[in-house]
Amino acid sequence: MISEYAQPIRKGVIAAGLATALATVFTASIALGSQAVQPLESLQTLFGTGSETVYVIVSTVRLPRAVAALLGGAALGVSGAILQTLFRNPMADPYILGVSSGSVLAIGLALLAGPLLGLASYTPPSLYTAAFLGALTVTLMMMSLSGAVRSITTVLVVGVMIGYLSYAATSILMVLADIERIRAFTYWVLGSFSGSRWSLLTPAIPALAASIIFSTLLAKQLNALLLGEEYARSMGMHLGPVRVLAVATAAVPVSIVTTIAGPIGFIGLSAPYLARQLTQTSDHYTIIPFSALAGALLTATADLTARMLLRPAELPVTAVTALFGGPLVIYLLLKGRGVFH
Amino acid sequence: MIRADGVSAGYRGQRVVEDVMLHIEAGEFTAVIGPNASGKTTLLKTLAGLLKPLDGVVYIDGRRVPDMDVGELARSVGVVLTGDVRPGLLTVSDVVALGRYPYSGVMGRLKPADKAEVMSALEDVGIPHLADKPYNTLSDGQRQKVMIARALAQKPKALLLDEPVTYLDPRARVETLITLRRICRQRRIAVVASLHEVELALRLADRLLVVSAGHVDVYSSPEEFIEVGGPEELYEFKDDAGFCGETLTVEVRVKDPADFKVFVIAGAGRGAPVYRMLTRLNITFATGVLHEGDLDYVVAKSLSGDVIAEKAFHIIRPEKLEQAVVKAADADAVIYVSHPVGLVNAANTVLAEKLVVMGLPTIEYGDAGLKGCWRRVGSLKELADFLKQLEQSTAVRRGFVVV
Amino acid sequence: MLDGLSIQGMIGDKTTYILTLLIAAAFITGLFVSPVINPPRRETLTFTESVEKPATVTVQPPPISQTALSTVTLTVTETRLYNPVRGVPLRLEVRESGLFELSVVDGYKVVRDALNRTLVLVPRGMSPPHGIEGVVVYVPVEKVVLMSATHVALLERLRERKSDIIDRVVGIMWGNEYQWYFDEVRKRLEVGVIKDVGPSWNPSMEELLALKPDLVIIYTFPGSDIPARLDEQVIPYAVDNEYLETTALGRFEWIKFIATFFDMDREAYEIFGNVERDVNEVVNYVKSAEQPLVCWFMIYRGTVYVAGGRSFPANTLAMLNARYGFADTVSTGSITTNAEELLTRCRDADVVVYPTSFVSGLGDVLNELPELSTVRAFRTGRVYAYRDNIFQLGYYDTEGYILDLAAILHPELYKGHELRYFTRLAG
Repeated sequence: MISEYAQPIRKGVIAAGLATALATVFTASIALGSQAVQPLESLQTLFGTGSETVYVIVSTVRLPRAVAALLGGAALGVSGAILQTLFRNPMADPYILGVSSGSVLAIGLALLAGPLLGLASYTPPSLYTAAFLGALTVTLMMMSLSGAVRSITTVLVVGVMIGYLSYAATSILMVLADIERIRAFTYWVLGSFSGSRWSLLTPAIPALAASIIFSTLLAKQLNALLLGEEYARSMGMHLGPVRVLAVATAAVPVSIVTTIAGPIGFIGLSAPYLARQLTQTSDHYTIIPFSALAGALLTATADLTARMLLRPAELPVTAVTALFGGPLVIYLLLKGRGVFH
Repeated sequence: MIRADGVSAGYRGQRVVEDVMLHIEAGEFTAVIGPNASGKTTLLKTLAGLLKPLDGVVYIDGRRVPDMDVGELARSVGVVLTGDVRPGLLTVSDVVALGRYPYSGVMGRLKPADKAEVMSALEDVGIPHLADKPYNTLSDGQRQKVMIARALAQKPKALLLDEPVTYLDPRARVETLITLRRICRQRRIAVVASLHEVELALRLADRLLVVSAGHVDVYSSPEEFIEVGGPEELYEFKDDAGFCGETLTVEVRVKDPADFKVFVIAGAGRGAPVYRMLTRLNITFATGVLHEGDLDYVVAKSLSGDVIAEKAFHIIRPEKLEQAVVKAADADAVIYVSHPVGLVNAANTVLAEKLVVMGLPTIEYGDAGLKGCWRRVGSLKELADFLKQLEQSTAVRRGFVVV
Repeated sequence: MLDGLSIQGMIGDKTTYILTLLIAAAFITGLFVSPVINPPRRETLTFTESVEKPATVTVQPPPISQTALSTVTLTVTETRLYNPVRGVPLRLEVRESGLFELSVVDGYKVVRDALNRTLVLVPRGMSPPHGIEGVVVYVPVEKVVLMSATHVALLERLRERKSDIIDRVVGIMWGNEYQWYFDEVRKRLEVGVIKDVGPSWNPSMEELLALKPDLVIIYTFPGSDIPARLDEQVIPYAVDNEYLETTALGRFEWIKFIATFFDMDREAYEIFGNVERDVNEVVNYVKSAEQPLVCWFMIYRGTVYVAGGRSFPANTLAMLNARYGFADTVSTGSITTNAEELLTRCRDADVVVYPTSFVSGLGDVLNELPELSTVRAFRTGRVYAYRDNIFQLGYYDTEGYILDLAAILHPELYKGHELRYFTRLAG
């Protein structure tokens, strides 16, 4: 039996542990990189000393990337936590909503069908806009759908269908397009934080932070949803609006992350699992912040590994997240008591 | 507390129950019974405000449900539904605390008053010691109590439960229903539960709602229900079973009787186990002379109906004795069950001796000391074994079985 | 069953309402604030190195009103070109390529690159001119990073005239993706004198910044974000998309583009002139020969890719007096078609060119489409594939490439010629 105040102590310890690990990885992301730059000097430049070039590298290449991985990972973790509860499905992850598929399809259309539609050439800003609009369209669609249907599972099914549709459409487009465009499209779809830069990040940071904070406000409703939608209604919850809000809060950060870095898989699935297994509760007041921490840690570590392991070449970050996130989750599940849902 | 005024319930396009008029008071425990898929769940959900009535209005504590917003409804009605609840890793008190949803603020923080309510709910269902245990580790019965406690934490004026004890083991079943009734009285709330356990419902409920064939019959007491033959109609017995109004139980009858009859002499309740055993062995029996109202009389009547009876507390008249003799002569064996003999039934001893003299094979069960009996048995098992042998040899004798 | 979407009753608390609005406001503010706190950084980075001034020191021509007419005339004629590109007209001649332009404005070289960007080439020690909009590149470039092996090939060609030009290459976006046919480059990459900054599709910005190059020469394709990334770091770059040219000389003319950054304009012009002459010689030589029918296609995973009628292969074939089986199509790249179309048009093809080095014999090609055995070229054994060196050496030695093709098309005129960049598929 867990006593009244053991829980807070346990949570405090785990939070401190995760935060420390995160701080370490963040520092490492700033310190490590090209062999030409000394780690110590990299850190020094943040305090004003060190050479100008190194400062530029650190502040314009490494720092935005580290911040993107951290915030993006936190947002994905929280998103996964919300969706797993909303859909009552332990396998739900942010991409189940079809948001990233919408983004990929939009990029596909812009890149591959561009010439057919008469678009001559287009710059990355317009492609980013296309990616974001694609994700946002699906988000809005899912929001209205979730408010209108009887069963929330319908929304899940539609999300999966969008995924398949997007895959089918882009496959067709790839057959008709020429090699150069296909190559460009493939790079977009790979998923990587290497394109992170301040001009992309600064509009995104407030929205990402806001979504994470707002998710904690949904904790009360999500807790009620743990018993199922009928019970939640009987306890006084407005089901329709809450569904819509939950989908929005989950989908908007995912749209942003997908626009900046492409589809990053697995984090949304595994971070909530980790949070639950570590804190041994399903209470969203705890789970949401811890999912954010876990997501940030997983993503930051994966990104660092992805770019350091075979430098100067880079591994796709999703490969890394799945590689060490997967066994970790399986281990915790087998060791931990009780099934998740 | 709960009133339904011409309510028709169902889903779009399909009416499940029509024109329901009912009124349930605070402190009353109402059982809803009826065949499966008759609409019990639909009715309950409509009364709880989870489903919109297709016609009519539901009132809770005088307020029209459509006039209430979701929060007010939550503070008026608590529900316990069917289906597996899997709240992840939440503890018991976490789950019960969810019931404070309509009272807690945006962040869902629990004030001391909320915590007190949670504790009180746990105590009312009798599980305060389980507060910190994870819900996942509990037994079915305990889980059900937690869900009841959660509904209580909402401080509702009415508590509606859909088949709360269907999947519980016998002990938990009884315990839970008793708990519900106690809560009903103590908290002065209206409790409505749909049950399959008719016999328990007849004992515990203050009111009965019977749902079948699209309409709801309201009975203000179980007695009223029994009087009008409700159980029989509900069960739709054919001739293989019946309902005993005195004992409030279902009694199974002999179907496809074997070609073997016995006559039983008993009384003061000693015969009842024998009658039941005979029914189980598919052996038809007649019995006499019993007194009306005697337990044996009640049981025998439910089981086979072939009873020679005398008026209660009256000395057995000779003509009754004669009837018994005639009946017994037709039997293949007589069982004399040892029972208290007094002024009013002394004739039964005479009957027994007469039958022995007539040459009928007589088995004595017990230690009455009947002279001339064929066989004496001390236990029901012995009796059963002997009867089986007898049945066999009778069959041989009658040429049914070739040895 | 579901209540209507009542936003008011939503979570039931005004605080949440206000918070929602605040957060939405945060998002919108972020969108507007971003450009303000993240202005394009133009002046922070200066890669200053110490350099010697050029031998002929010239001075900005003073405003005309302040000097006597005769002095002005003299000064103007003498100082018109600060670092005279000898013997070359003012609008530097770019004959074959339409994708770049070199000109001289107010004594400064101005380059228009493949993305229509203007680059102003300023000699070291001098300040950029007023009134000319463009990216400033200090020349001659001392440290350059190259993106494509083709860029390297052109630089290698310039080594003919100045062998240490290779010293100026400090980095290549190689990523170990292919083999090098330029020994010097390969050696330098191995040793690290030339830094490998990562594959062309994902170079490491860090490595690039650490090298502090004066210029990066890149190629682009739709959707490439390399230009955006370089813009963010304020690293000067020039876009060389020679692969988009549809004629051999057009492609090779980019040597002038690269050379101008190293002040090797004259050398480039001379080299180009020689190549042009050699190519024209071949063209004239084969002008009156018999016209073979040629098909230029590749089959990959069952799909047939054919060079378009206005593509580089098609134009080159036309130049070398050959008929192209798909000349009536309009694509400047490749088109996908089906086996039937291919077989119909190419059944009587005298020559087939299979533009990949990943086949080792006719069998590999016939595996993809066995019916090709009915094509004349397959029966007579005139099927040719690329050698792996064609992308580097075949470009470096454009005249040799043309010669090879001419020999393939008109073997009777080039008896005994040994192919260097193509190989005849046997078996």
